[in-house]
Amino acid sequence: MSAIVEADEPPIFKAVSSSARQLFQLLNCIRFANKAHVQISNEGLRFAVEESRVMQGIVFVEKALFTTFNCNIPAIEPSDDDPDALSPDLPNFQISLSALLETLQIFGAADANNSRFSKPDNDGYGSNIRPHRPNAFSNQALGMAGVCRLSYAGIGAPFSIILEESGVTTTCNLNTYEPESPEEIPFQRDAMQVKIIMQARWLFDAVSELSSTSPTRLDITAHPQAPYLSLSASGHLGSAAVEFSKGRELLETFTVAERWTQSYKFEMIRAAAEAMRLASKVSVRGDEQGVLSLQFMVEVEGGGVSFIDFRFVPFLREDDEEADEDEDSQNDDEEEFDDGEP
Amino acid sequence: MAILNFTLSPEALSKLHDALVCLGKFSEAVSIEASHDKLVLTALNSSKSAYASFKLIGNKFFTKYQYKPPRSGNQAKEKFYCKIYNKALLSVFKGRVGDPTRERETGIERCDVSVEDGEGKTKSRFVIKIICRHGVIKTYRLTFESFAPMHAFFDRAIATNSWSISSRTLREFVEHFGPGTEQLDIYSAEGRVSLTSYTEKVMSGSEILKQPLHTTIAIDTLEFAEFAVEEQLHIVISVKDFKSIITHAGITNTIVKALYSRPSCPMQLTYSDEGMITEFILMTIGEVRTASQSPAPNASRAGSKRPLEATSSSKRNATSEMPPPPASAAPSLKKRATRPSPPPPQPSIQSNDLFVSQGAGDDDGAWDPYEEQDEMLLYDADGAESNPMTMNSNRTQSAIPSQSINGPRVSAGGIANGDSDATQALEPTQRLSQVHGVFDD
Repeated sequence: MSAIVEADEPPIFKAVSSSARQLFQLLNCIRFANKAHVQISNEGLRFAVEESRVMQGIVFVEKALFTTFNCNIPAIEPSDDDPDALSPDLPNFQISLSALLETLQIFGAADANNSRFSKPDNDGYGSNIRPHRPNAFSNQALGMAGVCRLSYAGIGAPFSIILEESGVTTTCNLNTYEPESPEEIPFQRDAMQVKIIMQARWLFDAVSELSSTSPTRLDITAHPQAPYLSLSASGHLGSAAVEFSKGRELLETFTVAERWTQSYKFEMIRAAAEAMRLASKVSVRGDEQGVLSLQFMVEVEGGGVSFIDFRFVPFLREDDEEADEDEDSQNDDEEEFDDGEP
Repeated sequence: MAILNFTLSPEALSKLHDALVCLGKFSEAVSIEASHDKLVLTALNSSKSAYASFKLIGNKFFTKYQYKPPRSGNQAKEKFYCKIYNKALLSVFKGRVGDPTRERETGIERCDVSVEDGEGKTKSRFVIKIICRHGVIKTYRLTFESFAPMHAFFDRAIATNSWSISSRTLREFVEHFGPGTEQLDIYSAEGRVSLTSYTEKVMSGSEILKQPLHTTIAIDTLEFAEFAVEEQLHIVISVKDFKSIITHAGITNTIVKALYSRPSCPMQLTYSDEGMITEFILMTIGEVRTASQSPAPNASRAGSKRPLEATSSSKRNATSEMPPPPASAAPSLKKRATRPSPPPPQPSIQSNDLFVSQGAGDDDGAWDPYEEQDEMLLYDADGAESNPMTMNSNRTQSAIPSQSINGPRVSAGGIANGDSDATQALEPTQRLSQVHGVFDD
């Protein structure tokens, strides 16, 4: 680190956090792809991950999460308040997300959740109620919390992480890569057709429920009347659907003008399961084109709120009738099969 | 049109899940048979040597149960049957079972199941609707196969041996069975019951594929609620099946009742819990007592397979003399050695047995396919004997504790007599009769 700090210019970015844990928890939610696009601003750090241009996950780590946060942006100060907006002037680069997560884990940021990583297909019920709640023996509770320093000197410099915990210091310098010109999945806020705010755990529950049929496609349907919101999927063994039929009790906000239905790749939605488990609330929004936005509100240990944002591009459906017809024809086949039996 | 409708309470749902888990250990598909007063879930393993059935009584197990038989022509079908992939059912019921505190928010209120089956336009689906708190409804529409289930038949009339015991007690015993053991021998003598789980040694050339292992648990007959079994009768069943059954039976405190007649005839295990009657029929492994087989083909087969027969038999003569103290145990173990150790092949032969008897009713006729098994027995015995030294030393070791547990089991004469019956049955093997000769001397 010293080499970087003692450079002529002050580093572009320097921050200290009392624990690597929060950062780990948040970034772990978007570990579905390997490379993360990092953007540094005066407000915090923005990590964006995307998959095949159809799925995008963004974690915004607010500066409030750090005990100190210094950002010396060379040229112009960004005036834009919206953290989602990409300003080309902000320092940005790519790093390997998996390497970063490995680093943050060095001092057991994930100690409570190790089992989950070894068994990713764990049904998730174990830690469902209060995920990541520190127990009496966690490092934090025992006052062993370490310090995590992040710094970035400038273009071409590594992103360095210094972890100190109980007298042990680990320095990691992660190579940074040239940013690819990242294009956001466009979400038309002005043409929003659905907006639902609900407990994230219910979404998690529904998605893990549906995953039992090992489906490829997830259909999300929102109705202005009961059953309000339904998620359905079909696999080889049959189909499954989860309905949230008492909308008022379950859904904090429910704004749907007319029936809205879209299909997404199930695996992609499931990639957001970690966020569903971690978050307390989720805002499900869908626009005219069917782009789905899931915004998760995560209550971070020690107070404060962070947001994780996912966007998904829907499967192309010419119109709903055709999709239904497809389903019918499939069912017809199966019926023939059934009838063929004695 | 829904032909079957039933509603399950969360408790019943969890019981159904337990039953499905148990059925899943026998077969990957569950056969469901509905009639006007009950629902029967059955599974038959692929080798048809074990059969499990759970009868769920309509008005006791379910909160609501309604069977509306479809009318074909002018006659209503009495029964509806279908077959569903167990994995699909398990995944529907998984996760929520267990302590209710874990999922307080989305706890289940009830579960409605309906079966839609119709000719023409209706889709044939097994529809499971799980209604959770807060109006979350999870609907599963599973495909099924219309398939008449196979039921195993057990003739209670010929089952002269019976015992019953608390399922919890039995579960404690089962925990001691050696890991990876294959067969379970149930034997009783002089007020003590020995449950021996064991594995035979399996060799492939000089490579040891499986180490022999014997674990014997001796229990006083007083532990049993009821015990009426012929003395010194060896009954051998598969450990895996037995464990699967006891694991399920041990969930509730109930009385497991076993009924059986003699080796190579089926054994029945039954128990019941509120509204659920559970029955298992297991094939037992054993010697054939009828000397109905022609010895010729066996002998010739053995000869062609084992050119070294003479030498191996002479070795056996030598080795069988070696353990004089556990003489009582040794022959019985030797007898076991003649049983096929790899379980998969042998049940396929017995497979017919569970079922042929159903129609035929003539027991002896049903056991005919043993010829083939004998061939296997022969082969296995040879395999074991080709390494007599290690085999024997292991046996004596394992035999000694079992003997000491059994205490007053020194009546070698009685055992030898009992054994002579067994070896008679194996007469075609010729070499075993030589062994027998040695003992008599």
